[in-house]
Amino acid sequence: MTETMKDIVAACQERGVSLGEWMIQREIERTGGEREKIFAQMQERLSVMKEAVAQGINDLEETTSKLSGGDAYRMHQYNQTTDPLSGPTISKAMEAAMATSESNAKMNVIVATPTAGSAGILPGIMISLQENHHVNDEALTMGLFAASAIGYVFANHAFVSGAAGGCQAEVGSATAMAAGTITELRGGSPEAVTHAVAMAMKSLLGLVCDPVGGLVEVPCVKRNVIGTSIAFSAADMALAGIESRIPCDEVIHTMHTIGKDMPGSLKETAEGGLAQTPTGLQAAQRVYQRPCNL
Amino acid sequence: MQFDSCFDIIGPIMVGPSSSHTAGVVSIGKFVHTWLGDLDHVTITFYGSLASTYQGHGSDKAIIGGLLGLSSRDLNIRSAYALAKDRHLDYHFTLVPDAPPDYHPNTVQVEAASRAGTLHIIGASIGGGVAMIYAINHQEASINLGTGVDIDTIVAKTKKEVSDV
Ligand code: SF4
Repeated sequence: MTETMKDIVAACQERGVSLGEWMIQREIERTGGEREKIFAQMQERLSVMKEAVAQGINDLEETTSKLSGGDAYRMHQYNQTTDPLSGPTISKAMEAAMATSESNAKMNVIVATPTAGSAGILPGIMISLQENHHVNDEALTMGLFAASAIGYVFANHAFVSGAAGGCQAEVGSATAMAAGTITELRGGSPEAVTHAVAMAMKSLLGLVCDPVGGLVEVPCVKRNVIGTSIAFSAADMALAGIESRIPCDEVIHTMHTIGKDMPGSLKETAEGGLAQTPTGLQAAQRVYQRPCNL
Repeated sequence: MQFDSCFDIIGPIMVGPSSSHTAGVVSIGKFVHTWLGDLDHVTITFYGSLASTYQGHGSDKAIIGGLLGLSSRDLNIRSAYALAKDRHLDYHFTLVPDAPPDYHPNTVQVEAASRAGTLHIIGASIGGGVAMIYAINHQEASINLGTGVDIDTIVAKTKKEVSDV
């Protein structure tokens, strides 16, 4: 069996390293590759994230299904001209997450983190940490290694796809990864990181996957946006020294059991949840008028 | 272990909208293209979730793009049909929404022919952009097409194993 969060924290404590450092070392050992190259590969992902956000914020167009698009621009304008209630850190993250998820829906280039459906959350928090808290690219890249260490545990001990475990496996995992990453980048210990991960995941347990028309748009885009604020709340709690009463690995295990128990209609089949609302069904009908070009 | 690399989690860099219904599907197509070179004819069968939701996720464009040799991050995937026409690729789709119970919900079967020969594969896109090949020419296989995997190397290695049998 692969490492649990507990194993990773123990390894970090033993070597006196962060989660990000643990993960890059693991990748070096696993592949025999050079550190610089592996680091550069991760940094490239950060650049792609930034490009997707920059493009998405100015893109007013709707998607072909007309189910999303243009909202990142609206969010950006609002943030520029008012004093958003959720403050600069969260509002910037929301805007960047939306830009990424909208870009994804438009078949632009994004980075799956861990999936394309949940690709908005990590770029969201990354860009906001850089803009509002002066975290440089090097640190953010190490943050992506930390995020992948957390995601690695989710992927191997639970799941990271809506079809397998519901949206708790996608937006849930991604939000938990983001919460842990923020905590690490703000100086939290590996132990504190696991509490942030657990607290974020607990608040999204049971979330179903119910995309309208089977498209990664409704409710996906806005779940990414709101995921960023959950990630910051969980990280703030962890940084305040607050602990999850249920240990992180038990929470991850719970996500797995709930996902297995979840009916198929709520796992990316569009047979339940929001996909089956009258409005959702109407939208789906419009989409499937695209003839199969076969 | 199906997710081994940090780049399976943070990655792939890909054209949206779905890592399991778009990016992973491209890799399955690219595996075939790498094996046979430029293709003349291909029959694609989508099972389960792919058969019912391929339109919204562009899985059809993804598999054609991969079969033309494009990678998951190539924006030309969006215009895969036009490209297939330019390159005289003759393709045919079959949809089987009710997949056999032992199939992964995102299973694809490809039968392809090129000047170099023919190939029959069954694979599945298992999530997060990672794909698996489960059968090659009706022989069981277990090939992981993860994000960090170099398809050229994997194909060369598998071809050798198959010919050694
Ligand atoms: S609702 Fe389903 S498709 Fe949408 S983000 Fe969540 S898991 Fe992905």
